[in-house]
Order: sequence, then C-alpha cells, then structure tokens
Amino acid sequence: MSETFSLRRWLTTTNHKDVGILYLVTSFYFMFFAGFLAMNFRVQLFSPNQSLFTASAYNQVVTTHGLMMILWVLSPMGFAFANYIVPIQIGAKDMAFPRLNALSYWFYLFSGLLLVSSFFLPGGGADVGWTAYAPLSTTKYTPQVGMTVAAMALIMLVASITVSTVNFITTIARERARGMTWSKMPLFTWGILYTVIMMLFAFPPLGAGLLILLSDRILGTMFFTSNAGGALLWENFFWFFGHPEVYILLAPALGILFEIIPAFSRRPIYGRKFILGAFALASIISFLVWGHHMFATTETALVKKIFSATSVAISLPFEIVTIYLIATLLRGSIRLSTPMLFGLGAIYMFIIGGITGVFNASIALDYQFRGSYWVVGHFHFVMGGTVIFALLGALYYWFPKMTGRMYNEKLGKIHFFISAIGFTMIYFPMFFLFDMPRRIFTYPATAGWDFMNHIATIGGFIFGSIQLLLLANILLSLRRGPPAGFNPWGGWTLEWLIPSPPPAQDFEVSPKIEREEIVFPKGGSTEWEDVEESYTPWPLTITIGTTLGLLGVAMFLPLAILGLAVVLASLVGWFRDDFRGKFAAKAEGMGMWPFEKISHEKLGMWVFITAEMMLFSMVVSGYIYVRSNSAVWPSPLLVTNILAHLQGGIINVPGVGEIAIHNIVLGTVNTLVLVTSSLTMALALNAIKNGNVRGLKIWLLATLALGVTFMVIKGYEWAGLYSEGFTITSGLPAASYYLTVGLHGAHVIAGLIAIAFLITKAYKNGFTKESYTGIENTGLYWHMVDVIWLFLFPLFYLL
Amino acid sequence: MAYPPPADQWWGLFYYFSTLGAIIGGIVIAFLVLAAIKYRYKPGKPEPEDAPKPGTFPKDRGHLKYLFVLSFVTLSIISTLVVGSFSAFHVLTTPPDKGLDIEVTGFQWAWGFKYPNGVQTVSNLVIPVNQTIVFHVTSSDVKHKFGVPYFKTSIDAIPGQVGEIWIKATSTGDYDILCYELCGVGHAGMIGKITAVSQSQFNQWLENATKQK
Amino acid sequence: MYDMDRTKLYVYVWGILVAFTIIEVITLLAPLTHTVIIAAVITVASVKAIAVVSIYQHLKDEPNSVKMFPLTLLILLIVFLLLALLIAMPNMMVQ
Ligand code: HEM
Ligand SMILES: [Cu+2]
Ligand SMILES: [Cu+2]
Repeated sequence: MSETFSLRRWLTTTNHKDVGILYLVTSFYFMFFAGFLAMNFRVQLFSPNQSLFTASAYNQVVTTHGLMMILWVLSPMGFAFANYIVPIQIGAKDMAFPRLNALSYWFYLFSGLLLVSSFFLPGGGADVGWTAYAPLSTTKYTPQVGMTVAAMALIMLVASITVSTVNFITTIARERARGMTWSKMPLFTWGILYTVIMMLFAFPPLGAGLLILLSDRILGTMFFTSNAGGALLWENFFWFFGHPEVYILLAPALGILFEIIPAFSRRPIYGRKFILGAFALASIISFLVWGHHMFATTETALVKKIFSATSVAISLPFEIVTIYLIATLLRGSIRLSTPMLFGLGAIYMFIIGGITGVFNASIALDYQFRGSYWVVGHFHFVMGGTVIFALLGALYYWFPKMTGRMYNEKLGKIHFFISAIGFTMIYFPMFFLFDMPRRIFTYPATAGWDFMNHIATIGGFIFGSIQLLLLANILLSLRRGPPAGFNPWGGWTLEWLIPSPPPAQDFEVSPKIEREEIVFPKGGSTEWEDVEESYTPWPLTITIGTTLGLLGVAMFLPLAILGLAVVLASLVGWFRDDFRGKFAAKAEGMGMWPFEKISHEKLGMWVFITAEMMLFSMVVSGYIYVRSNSAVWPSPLLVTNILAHLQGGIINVPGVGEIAIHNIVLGTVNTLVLVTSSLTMALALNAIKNGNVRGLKIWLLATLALGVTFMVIKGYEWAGLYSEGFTITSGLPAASYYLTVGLHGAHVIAGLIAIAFLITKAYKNGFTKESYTGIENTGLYWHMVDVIWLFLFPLFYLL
Repeated sequence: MAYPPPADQWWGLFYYFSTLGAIIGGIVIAFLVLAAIKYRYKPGKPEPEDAPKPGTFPKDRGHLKYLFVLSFVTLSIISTLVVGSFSAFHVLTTPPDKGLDIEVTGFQWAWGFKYPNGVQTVSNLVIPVNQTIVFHVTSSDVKHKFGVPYFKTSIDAIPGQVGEIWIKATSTGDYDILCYELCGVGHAGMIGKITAVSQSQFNQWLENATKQK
Repeated sequence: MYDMDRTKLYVYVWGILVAFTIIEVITLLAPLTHTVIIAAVITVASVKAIAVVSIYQHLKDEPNSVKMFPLTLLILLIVFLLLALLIAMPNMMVQ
C-alpha cells in the first residue's frame, strides 16, 4: 500500500506525511490556477480601455483569485508543511486524530473544487470581491447561484479548518516527546500553535457571518438587506474574522523564517523568548484592530481613533520580530542557499509591507487609501511577498527531507532573484496609484495611471513565468537530484535526525529529551504498527456526501438527501472501525505538561467546544446588533400584564402596536426538559464509571427520549408560530429567532445521532469501567448544547 | 502646487509618513542586506561557536536592555504618527464653516446630488469656488465609496447611514469623483465630475436649474 | 460512597437548575426596570451555565491548566453579552 503511485493509498491515507504531501500538491495546483487568473487581469489592466474581460467576468476573476489565494493557497500551504513537519518536530508518531486530519484535507480539496465549479455555473461565480460585502452579496444584487455555491465552499472550508484546529492544538499540547517542554519546542511548531489558536477564535465568526448570508440567500431572511443589519453588520463579522486571518496567514510564514534564518546563518535565533512574546502580543492585538478596515464607514470618530491607535501599535511587536531576525544574522557564517535567499527576501518584503501597513493604520491617510491600489500594494507585499516567499523557502528547505533528493541550487537561485525582482515590479508601482480605485475592470486614458500599470503587468509576467522554473526544478530533482542524506543543512530539530524521506512511522523508537539533547532510547520496544490499519475511506466519503449535500441545498434538493445518506452511511462505517478497535493504537500519546491528566479526545472536545462557543456568540451578537438597530422589537417586557400572556401570541401593546411574543410556558418546559437530559447524561457517565452497564443503557435511553421530546415540543411550537404568520421571512425578529434557535436545534439533532450510536455500542457491550471515552465526550458536547440553550431561552423568550 | 483643503492636510501627513518610512525602511533593508553580505560564509571561515548542532537545543540569547531601547524608540516615533493622524483626521472630518450642504446618494451606477433648495443633478456637480462644500453621503442600494481624489478625502456610501466629508475648491476647474468600493458591474464607470466655478457663475447656474425644476 | 455522592451532587445541581429557571420567569413579573430585569435574568442564566460547565462537564475536577481556559472564555463571553445588552438596551425597548 505504500507504493508512491497507488491511488488507493492517496485516497485513503491518514498518515500525516501523506496528508502533508496532498495539501502541498493541492495548494500548488490552486496557486497556479489563481495565479493564472491574475496574469489574465494584469493583461486587462496593462493599459486603459482594454477589453479582454467584461466587467462581470473581471469581477468574477478578481473575486476567485482573492478568495483562492488567501484561503485555499497561503494557509493550506503553510499547513502542508505543518502536517508534514510538526508531528516530527515534536517527536509524535502522527497527529492526535489521524482520521480527522484526512477529513480536514478532503474538506479542503472539495471546498476548493466547489469554488472553482461555481465559476462555471449559469450566471457565473461570485463577483463581489473576496470581502463579499453585503448587501451586494445578497440575492437582490447577486442572484446567480454561483455566489451561493461559493459561500458554501467557504462554510466547508471553515469546517475543515475547525477540525484541523482541534487536531493541531491537541497534537501540540499532548503529543510532544517526553521532555520537550514549551521552552524547547521548535519555533516552526510555535508558529503553527499561534496560527491554530488564532484560527480557533477567528473562523467561527466567519462561519456565523456566512450562515447568516446563506440564510438571506436561501431562506429569504433580510439580515443584510435591511438597514438594521445591513452593510455594517457584515463588515463587522467579516473583519472580526478578516484581520486575524491575515495574521493566520503570516504566522506559519514567520515560523518558517524562525527555522531557516538561524539554520543558514549558523547561529541560534536572537531573543527567542522575546520573539515568542512579541508574537503572542501581536496575536492578541490582532483581535482588537478589525475596525481599521472600516475607517471610511460611519463609525464614530472615537471608535476609529481607538482602532487606529491599536493598529499603529501592532507594528511594534512585528518590528521586534523583524529586527531580531536580522540580528540573528550578525556574526554568523551565512550560507546563501536558496531557502535562505527566500527567507531574506521574505524579510525584505515584510519591511515594505509593514511600513505601508502603518500608513493604512493612520485614519487620516486611509481616507484616501481605503479602496485604492495602495492597499493592494500593501497586502501583496505582506501576503504575496512575505508569506509566499517564506513558503517557497520552506519548500526548498524541506524538499530534501520530503523527497530524499536535493534540488538544483543554481535554478533555485535564479528562481529567487527573478521572483524578487518581478514581484517588486508588480506591487511597488501600486504605491503610486493611490488614486486608482481597486477592482475596476478598466480605467480611462485621461487618468494617467498607464505607466505604473505597464510596469506592474510586465512584472507580473516576469514573476509568473519564472514559477515554471520552480516546477521544472522540482520535477527534475525528483528524478535526478543527488541524494540528500539525513541533514543537508545542519539543522538541529528532530526532522533532521531521521532518514529522508522519513519512514511511515517517522521514528523507530520514540525520541525523548534529556537535558539539552534529543536522544533515541536504545533497545526500546520497536513497535511498528500495522500500516495497513491506517487507511480508511470514510473521510473521503463523508466529504463527498457533504459536497453533494451542499450542492443540493444550493440547486437541487433531492441531491441533498443523497448527500445526507452518504454522510450517515460513512459515519456508520467510521464508528464500526472504532468499535473494531482500528486506530485505537494511536489513541494515547505522552501527555505533556500541563495536559498530562486529560485524554486526547477530551482535550480535543474542549477545543471544539470553544469553537462552538465562538460560533454561537457571534450569531447572538448578530441578533443583538439587529435588535438594537430596530425601531420596534417584540418583547415580553413591553407587555404590561405578562401573566395573561404566558402562552405567547400576537399582543397589542399601546403605543407600539401589534407584536408577537413567544410562548413562555413552552419555552420553560423545554428548558426543563433539556436540563433534565443533562442530568441523565451525567448519570450515564457516572454509571459506566462504576461499571454499571445496565445503568448506562437506561440513562442513555432517557437522554435520547428527553432530547427527542425537546425537538418535538420545538416542532409543535414552530408549527404554531407558522400558522400565526410568524414565518422566517416575516421580519428580523422571526428571522433571528429561527436562525439561532434552529442552529441550536441542529446541534441537538447531531447530539441525538451521537447518543444513538452510543446506545448501539452500549448494547453491544462496547463500554466498560475502563473505557468510556465516547460517553464522556458526547456528554461534554451534550452539556454544551444545554449551556447554549440556557442563554437562548432568556434572550428569545424572556427579554 | 498648493493643494486645496483638506488635501493640504493629507499631503502634509503623507510626506511626513513617507519621509520617515523611507528612512526607516531604507535603514532596515540596508541592515539586512549588509549583514547578509558581511557575515556570509567564505571558504575556510570557522563555524560560530554556538552553531546549531543536530539534536541539541540551541542556546537562548538576547538582552532585555535592547528590547527596551528598541521599544522606546519605536513607541516615540509611532506616537508622533498617531498624534499627526489624529489632528489631520480632525481637520478632515470637521468642516471649517457651515458651508454649502450637498446630499449625495450613490446608486448602481452613478452619483445623485441634491442642493439645499431641492435642485437635483446626476453625476455632475457644480460648486462655487472658495466655499466649503459639505457632502452628506448615503446609498440607495449597495455599498459605494464616494471619493474625490484631488481633495484626498472620501467616505463610504452605506444604505441607511449618512457619512460626512467636506472640500473647498481653491481654483476653478473640473475634478473627478470616483467610486472606491466594488458595487457591481458598473463600478469602474461610476465616475462623476465636480465643476468648480466662480461664485457669481454658480449663483447664475443654480438660478437656471431651479427654474427648470 | 463515591457513586452516591456523585449522584446526589448531580441531582442537587439539577434542582438548582430547575429552581433558577423558574426564578428567571418570575423575574419578569417583578416591578423592576428593564435594565435590572435584563441584568438579573442574564446573571441567573450565567449561574446556571457555570453550574453545568463545572459540575456536569466536571470542569471543576480537571487540572487547573485545562479548567482555566474554557471558564475564562465563558466568563468573558458572559461579560460581553451583558455589556452588549446593557449598551443596546436604550434602543431595544420602545416605551
Ligand atoms: C504592521 C503591520 C500591519 C498593519 C499596521 C496593517 C494595517 C492595515 C490596514 C490599516 C489595512 C486597511 C487598509 C484599508 O483597507 O484601507 C490593511 C489592509 C490589509 N492588510 Fe494589513 N497591516 C499590517 C500587516 C499585515 C499583514 C502581516 C498582512 C498579511 C499577511 C496584512 C494583510 C492585509 C490585507 C489582506 C489587507 C486588505 C484587506 C482588503 O481590504 O481586501 N497586513 N492593513
Ligand atoms: Cu487588518
Ligand atoms: Cu463602486
């Protein structure tokens, strides 16, 4: 099964290195696709009044280019290296959840394919810019189904990223080799850790925004078309995600620089602790600066000033990082090999990008910059320049490790110099184009922007075409490159202590750290697991089912039912693997401080719960936002004699008019039902902890029954509301109620499915006093669903 | 060339930022390049004492002292940037006097203008020279951004919201109005024109327009 | 016995959850200003949530390092929620 070209291997693998390679190849493919789009519109912009594209085609191309590069290229390429390298660097055998890792990959690939396919649908793809500003992105102004499919592709990507987040945090927290303390962890791994922590908080908000957008597009709600929500609601959602996102792209790149720069200057990194501290500070501040993308809106001056100050301040930690990277070079013995050249190039780009970022952060200057080519120049220097150059450096740096062969140094150097020149030629001229609006498909000859655009387009072709040299170098070296040996660069981290390419299991014996040295204990048991056991088709089939489901919801409902069936069948397969004990061998890692006392699954579940808490917080924030901007909002607090109206209904409030309030009695009953189901779930866990299987079955069944009761009451309630005309399209109060409570209901259903699996397993005696992780984790999830309801109940029924 | 207000503020600030940025960027890039060249490996050059050794954790190095110096210098530079920005921002957002109020409405894909007396025009706006013009900008469909690049100011046009900016033309002539927020297929063509004329010509024009209404 | 203690604790918590739910509803009837009612109801809900998190999800038995993170986040989110509601309050009710 481990032959290089076995299709079955690549479709069913869960090995972190295979998944890493899959990520790498896929992100490269998407990079060439999105890059090709970019070269096309550079032709269009070469001179005024060109007609290669119509405005609509241009907008689609620009949108797909932006979305693809940011979300399907830069981040996943960082994660290609993370998948391959991080488990090795920390001395783990694999990721904490290998199957989930494969699932992340397949979700990533298929979401990308969905995005590409949206392009070819009737009416075309998304043409609203990567920021998808509402209300332009709503059906009223962008009716084509391609936009819906693109939003679904994004949701699928959010799911992929959430799963990876859980996986990476658990892996890094718990799987490190014995003795590898936080302070000894390699810096690339640190970079990835920062990345996933930021992802954990940034992606659920995007998910929430997209859910609301899709609800507007598919269910006909009016969050983004009404003035109570509207443009500003979307912008707040989007940039609360969007700003951290740009640092999410940056963090793996900096992690790479922290490896490459010291390795090639032959000196330890300068000020490791300060760099890590600065990086942590920047990660935290990154959640406090989103307003700098909204300086031109109608936010109050005070808000703008605060965001301006935090944004300027964020340049301090980045400056420290930059200066310390340069300080690392001093008194070194610098090898200017290709990875190092790309590393230095990335720093050069980061200096320019960072300084122009400070320009943007000035509220006054941004009055002109916002929406102009200046911003395009800025973010390409940081994202295209810094991040891509660092990633290319990483590719050259780890190529020998991944393939066992050296690349051609001369071609690499040519690639670097021409790329650096080409890149600067594209984007530096844009700093002189701060009058030119971005995303225009053509410009008048009188504007005087021709010259700078000529240079940019020429640069674009230089940069674009030289990437073919990279491709040639890779293909050539894969065949003919001289053998690389274990450690061509003299690196100190674990990946350089094992063969290139590493064997399937990475280490014969788990390494450990003794004082300042990494050692492989001698004579330790060499337990090679059965490699055959680590292949599984379910991650792929779940993904296919999900893709069909999403396409179905967007275009053709029966397809969605097929998709759902595929997902459920695959889940059954997945759990049967579990039951057979497949993958069980991977279950327990070292458990490093401070996570030695908590199991894998439990830690993973807590991380996941955090993501869910963020998701619901954002949806609820959206609710509070539209509510506070609405002139009238039905509330029991407005009703003078509430006792008479505990059953809810349409009530005439003097001075306000007719309002609909919810049935407080039913809401209370349902709260009690859910709370009780939490009790029974807790008792189920307690029973099995004491070895009481009968008790376990009874309490699980009780939980299932209560959960079903909750949903039935909900259904009854909704039927009543609908018959009274309180439909999802009847206004924002109804829309926010159905969306939030419905999302919660979906979680209840997911929980019920999990509980049904548990019951089956319990009846097959699958749980014992010693092994009850499934119960414990489903319990954690179930209680979380309860906790969410504890807030939704007062927010929607009482206040 | 003298810039008309409030562009004078913007350019002043821009030159300050650019000078500082060019100097600092130049120094840091030079530092990077020179360090890479000066300390590059030459045949026979010994490895540094603390060079990374496979399997051995590298020593930590770095001094808190330098961190403080660096932070202090940076903070003092960026605080001037913040102060400068805030004061320019104050000017950009505060019309110097009451001025002439124009209601601007962005729509797919043109700009509509309304004078205080109710006269309305589309795409073309005539204003008197040497008088403060205050724009009250909104949108009737999607987001746009009303920008007058010659005056270096602009503001989002958001449905349901009204944003305010001002300009004051100091010489007669035509000035572009551009849209700086993607608003659909007509975005590139959403170009308007401001014509600044003398006060008397303006009065005359307004009178005619009012009659035609 | 360990088991019985557990069971008892769980049932007590359940009793508290039920009682507090009733209290939330009754608060609506009290002659208080809207601000006070909102603050009171959300506070009661938060106490319930923290009870579930720490007892049913047995966060209180986890090591400190694991406990701190979700609890801090939960409390932060509750504070934001309260702040958001109280700031948005004036706009939320037409009187
Ligand atoms: C010193 C650090 C930085 C500062 C102060 C900064 C500041 C800003 C500001 C204020 C804007 C908004 C400009 C506008 O739309 O008017 C902006 C845009 C942007 N920045 Fe940065 N930035 C910094 C670093 C970065 C980094 C490291 C990245 C990515 C790796 C990045 C990516 C972006 C992107 C993608 C946009 C444009 C978003 C859009 O409108 O499409 N920035 N930056
Ligand atoms: Cu930002
Ligand atoms: Cu526009």
